Amino acid sequence: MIFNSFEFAVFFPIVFAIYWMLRLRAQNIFLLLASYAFYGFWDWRFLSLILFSTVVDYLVAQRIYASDDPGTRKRWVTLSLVTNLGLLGVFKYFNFFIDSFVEVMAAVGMQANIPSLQIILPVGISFYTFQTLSYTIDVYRKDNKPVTNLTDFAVYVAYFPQLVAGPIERSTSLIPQISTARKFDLNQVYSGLTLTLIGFFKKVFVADNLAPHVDAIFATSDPGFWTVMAGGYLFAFQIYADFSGYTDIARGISRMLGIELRLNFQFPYASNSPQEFWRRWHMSLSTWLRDYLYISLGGNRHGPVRTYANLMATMVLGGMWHGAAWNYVLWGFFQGTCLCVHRWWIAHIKPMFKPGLMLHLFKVLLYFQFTCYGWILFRATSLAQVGEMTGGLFQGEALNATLFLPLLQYALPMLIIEWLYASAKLPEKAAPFIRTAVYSLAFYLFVFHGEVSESFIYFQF
Amino acid sequence: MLNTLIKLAGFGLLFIVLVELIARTEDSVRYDAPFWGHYHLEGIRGVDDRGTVRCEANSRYKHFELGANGFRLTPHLENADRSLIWLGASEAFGLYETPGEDIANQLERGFARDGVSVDVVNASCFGLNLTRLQRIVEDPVAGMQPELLALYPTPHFYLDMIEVKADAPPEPSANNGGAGGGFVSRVATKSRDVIKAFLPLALQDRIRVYQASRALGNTSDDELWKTPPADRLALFEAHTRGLLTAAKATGARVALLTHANAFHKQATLNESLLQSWQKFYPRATGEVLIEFDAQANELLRRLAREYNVALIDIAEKVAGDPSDFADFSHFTDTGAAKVAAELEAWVLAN
Repeated sequence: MIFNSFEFAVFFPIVFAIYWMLRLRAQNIFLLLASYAFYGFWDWRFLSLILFSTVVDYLVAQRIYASDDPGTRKRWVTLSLVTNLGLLGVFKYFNFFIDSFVEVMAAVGMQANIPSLQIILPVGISFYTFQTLSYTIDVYRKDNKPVTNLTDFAVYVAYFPQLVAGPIERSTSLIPQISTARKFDLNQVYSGLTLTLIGFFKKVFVADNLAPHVDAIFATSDPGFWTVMAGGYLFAFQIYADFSGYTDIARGISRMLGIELRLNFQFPYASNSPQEFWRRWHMSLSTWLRDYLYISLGGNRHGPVRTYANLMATMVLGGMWHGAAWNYVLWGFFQGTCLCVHRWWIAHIKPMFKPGLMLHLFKVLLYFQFTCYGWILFRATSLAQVGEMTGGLFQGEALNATLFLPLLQYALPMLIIEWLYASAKLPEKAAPFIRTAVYSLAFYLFVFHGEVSESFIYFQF
Repeated sequence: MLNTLIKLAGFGLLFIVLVELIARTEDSVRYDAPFWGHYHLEGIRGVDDRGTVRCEANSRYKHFELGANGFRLTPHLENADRSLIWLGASEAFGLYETPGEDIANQLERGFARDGVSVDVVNASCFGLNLTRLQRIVEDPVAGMQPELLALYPTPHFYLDMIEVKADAPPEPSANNGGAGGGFVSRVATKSRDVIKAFLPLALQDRIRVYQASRALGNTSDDELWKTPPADRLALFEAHTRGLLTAAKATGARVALLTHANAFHKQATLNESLLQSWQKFYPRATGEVLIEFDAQANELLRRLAREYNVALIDIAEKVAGDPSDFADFSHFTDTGAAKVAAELEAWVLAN
């Protein structure tokens, strides 16, 4: 079930109404059933994977907590890692590794007959796997105590607003909210409703209207400079509106249920460096990678060379988290390179410049170009297309301004509305009339000028 | 709690008013619609002082910005070497094509590309049955003395609940963009289409079945058509003969086009689409609609020979590709391009 579907339009009001009629224990059981129904609507068979992950991590965390022996604790957390990453590996990466191996063998003149399997990628597996992993690792690191109630933990794993595309919640933040009583608050419901509206506006009006323009550009053979630039810019706003729109809907729906989900985006394209970008883009993933991968690898504690290597490894693995394809590896490598170069720059060159507004704006503009190039790697369907698009940047072409027109039509209204909303002026300080006018405009554009696609980009991850 | 409720109700009311105002502003800016008063599709169709039904040139109406160079009220042709008048109902006028991609516009561009000077006038309008087409041909088309006249009759009008009469001109619509009448929410009107499109296909089908059965009212089973009704086909023939006689009397070279639908030469029948067609003609089953169209096309082929006018067999040439149709019989941009190409080939051959 996706948020912008008829099924969800029927599902959520029913869930909302029943949910608020129940008390805490019954509320959580109902929330769990609703979450399983939400997921099972896509394919009920894959509920078994969620159930399996839930039971394993619930038991593992209890065992870790019960033991003081470091060796025993390590064995249990390893079991959790192997189980979760094993499932992810089989369902997400098995065919990728097999196909890549066969291609490498073919490249050196050897034929390998290893059959690939018809494996369906379970929706949201990357998200809930990381979420449950963070729980067992937190318990292992003694940052958190295990949950005693299995239902509460199962809700934490399968909570439907954020189950399939995040934000990746930490147990320290979500479980206490699940375990304690929620109070119905009309203001919260109103706030959640407006956040959901903004999310739908971003997804349906902005992302889905930009999609055909992006598809057309990426289908162009032999693109020139302006075409590639337009492709990068348009996709940058499409993926942002799509993913942050989904997150806003998830957060809004959850707020209506009295549960606050974490912020996942904060004006990422206003970043003036890769470091800042990753503090603003998909924050729940970037902090996960930082806390559980980069720091585990040693972070910056073992000298500059190891730091660069750790950064690179984290970003390449982060790229692979997005999908089993070489362009995601390349994208991760590109992001890692940007972070390394930036780190080196700060250490060696930055002091040469005097900080100021103009320099800041220049850096924002400059880094946006790098971000967009990164999105070209991300959006490409093959390495050949990456080469073609990159080559296009060095191929002269007459400026076709109409290619950029969708930015004015869709991206600009989004930036204005989002700025009003996210800068906290809209929800709290703006006059009721202005606030309602903005919501009305967002609603009108999303309902009467939106396109309906059948998925969200990040569902495939 | 009560204060919050009152406050939120106030926001809700303000929200509804603002959305309505935004809708009216958009209609006004994009489609020249009156800000207050009614605004309806019928508003772009009218009856001139000679009693001729016509669509306004460059008419625009909410979802589709028609952009078709509709019927010129001043009956004169451009200073071109040749002139062609393109006449039919909504399929010919252009209902779903993107602005400028309707058949007449594509045809004109095709001529320009080939360096041929032809003035194309789209005299079509939605809802024109053959007697109305004949009226247009007699006046003002005859007076415009076009060199070429292409006719695109719509047979399924003849399966309407009530019989098509050699008609009196319809009354001008009360919704013709003017003020007056009760308040009709633009948002509610627009929402109906959005909600319909949002519903699952199975539910949409059920609604269509319900609408069709409601339209049938007290119609008895005996009155439903299980086979194409011969009397309606005879009426279609009689009206086509009248139209062709009037067309030939203009002195123009005439082309008669067969009627294309989205079901001809399809390996599997799109039941949902067929249902959406049947909704408008509830006395007929889907099969009857398709068969009636086929028999009417056969008739058109025969009449073209009999009256010695050119036949452009669009039904055969634009068939088999669902992407050519936006619904059961109206064209998409690609479908319109195919029709335009056939018309151009005919003109260049003449």
